[in-house]
Amino acid sequence: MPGKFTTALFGGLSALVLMAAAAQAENPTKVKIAGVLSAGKEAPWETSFINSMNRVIAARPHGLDVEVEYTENVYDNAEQVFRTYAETGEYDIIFGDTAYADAIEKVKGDFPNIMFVMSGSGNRGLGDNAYWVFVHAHEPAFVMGEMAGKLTKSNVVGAVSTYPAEDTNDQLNAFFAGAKSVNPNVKQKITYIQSWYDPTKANEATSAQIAAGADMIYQMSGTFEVCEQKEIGCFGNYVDMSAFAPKSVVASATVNWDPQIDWVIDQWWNAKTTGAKFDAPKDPKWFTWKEGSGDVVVGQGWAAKLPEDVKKMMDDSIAAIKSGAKQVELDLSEVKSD
Amino acid sequence: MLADLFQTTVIVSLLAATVRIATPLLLAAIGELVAERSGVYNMGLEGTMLMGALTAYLAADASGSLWVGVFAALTTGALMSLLFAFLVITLQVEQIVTGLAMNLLGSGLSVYWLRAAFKGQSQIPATPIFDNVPIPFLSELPVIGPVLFDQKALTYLALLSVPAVWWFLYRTRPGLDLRCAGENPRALDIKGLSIAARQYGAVVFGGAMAALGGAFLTVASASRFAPEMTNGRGWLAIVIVIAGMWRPVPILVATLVFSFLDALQLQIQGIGIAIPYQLMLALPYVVAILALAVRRRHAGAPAMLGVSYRRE
Repeated sequence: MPGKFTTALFGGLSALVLMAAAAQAENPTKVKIAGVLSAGKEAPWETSFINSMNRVIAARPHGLDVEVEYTENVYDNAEQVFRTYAETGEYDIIFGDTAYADAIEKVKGDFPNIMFVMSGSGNRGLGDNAYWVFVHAHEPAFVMGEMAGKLTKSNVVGAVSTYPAEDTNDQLNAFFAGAKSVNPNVKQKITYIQSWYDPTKANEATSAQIAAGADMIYQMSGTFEVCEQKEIGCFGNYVDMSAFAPKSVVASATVNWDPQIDWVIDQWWNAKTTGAKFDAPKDPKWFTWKEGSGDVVVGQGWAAKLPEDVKKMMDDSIAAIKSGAKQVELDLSEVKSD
Repeated sequence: MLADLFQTTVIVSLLAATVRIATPLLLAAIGELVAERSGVYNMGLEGTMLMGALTAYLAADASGSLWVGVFAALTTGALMSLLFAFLVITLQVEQIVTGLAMNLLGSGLSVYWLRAAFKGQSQIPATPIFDNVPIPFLSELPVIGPVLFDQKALTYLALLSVPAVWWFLYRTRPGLDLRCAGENPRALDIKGLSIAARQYGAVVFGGAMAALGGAFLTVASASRFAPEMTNGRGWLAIVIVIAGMWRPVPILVATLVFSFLDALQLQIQGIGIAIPYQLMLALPYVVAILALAVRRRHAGAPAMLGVSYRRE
């Protein structure tokens, strides 16, 4: 009899210990992320994504070990890449940094416990376990536009971009709006090279804009060889471009994905710790400059020669946007040349 | 607005851009012409160009010399096409399929090699690019000077390759033999001349030229390699050979027309003229299809192009 009692007691105790251990196990210590990149790591868009991811890894959100694997140049066969990652069963979050809605829609239902992420334009809200983030750098682009408007001597301000898309239009519209807000005589010129990354073509597009009179050009395709040769003023985006083009880069609108990645990990953490199902909002999640979405970084070569009034205007404008005193319109419509 | 297009500075910029854009296309197309004249379709141009662009960049970065980069690209192109030649000439594997496989090889290997070369670095280094080499006196001429005589060395080489290849194909005995391999290989065989030797030579030359075209992108245009940076230029070169009806001078003309349309659409956008530039981007391909349709059968293609020779 006592034997039975002891057994029961031990049994009960070990069950309690097990339950406690299980409760402990519910709080994950590690999150494994697959980064599905649309282009090579050199493309500025991807570089900004990877840099942000590295900062998040170092910051250990929720005390998590964040582990990331990347696959590059995924565009046409995205579904296969998402599915392969999912089927390994090793990944908690499969994070695509471009328009992957079509691929994710086909895969997400088969893996309800995995979180899928898509980014930017060309997507649609899918809900459930498919999260949608957006990176808008229109606020820094507006400030750079103001600088271009002040610095131009020809009153022709240009931009060389990739494709017309909502996540390039936002910056282009803001850039030109900034230029015109300080200099109403500015004429805007826009060239699309119809490729996400083709430096040779982007250089030719830049030469063509210079021939058309532009002396301040927003290089959204990350190419600066002609800017350096012709010593005009150029603007970079996604990462600080002045390392590649010290003479010509006036400033760069840098992009931080940190708030988006943190938000994604928070959503994952909430679902995992509460046992709730993933329930993604249908609208894209994005963050303002004030919330840490990016910055304006003045180029090394231009920092010394930037006129005082331009520097002051830049600082004032940044302060006003961050405090909320100045609103920069988020305009996603397609840009046209004047 | 349209008047802006006809200013001298704009016209000069437009024509100089045409010649720059034409350079890699012309190098690859003239090389492919020689290969196809010998009876071999090399559909692997895109991958070969990409590998040329990569190895030129890596070698230039490692050695500090752009010419070493050029040499590396030539070697890579020759080696890649030697492999291709072995498969399609010696083993007689289907040419189109093998060419496509070479593209996949170039696409995958170039990224893998790039990663292996700069392991753990967040940014790959920038290399310098070739300066223009203005030709004395000629570069001073108005309009034509900056357009034709103030370009990079590789551009002159590309332009000179047209008369050189024409002379070789149509005015020399080895050139005649090479064309015979594409038109009537049995005639060569009966005379006891090696078809395979001529085809190997032609294919290796073509591969080296394609890689040189790729190298132009990294040593003369952009300061860094980027995955898939050839962006369809290899395919366009193949279209150009068809549009140029397998003859050197028409190929030069076709290259210049295609490049001009590309330069024009960029300039039209830059000025802001409201013409849909997508139309101009499509135009070269429309022209090529029309050229084929009008000329009907083969349109000047070597009679035995793509057909492996088997002794009966």
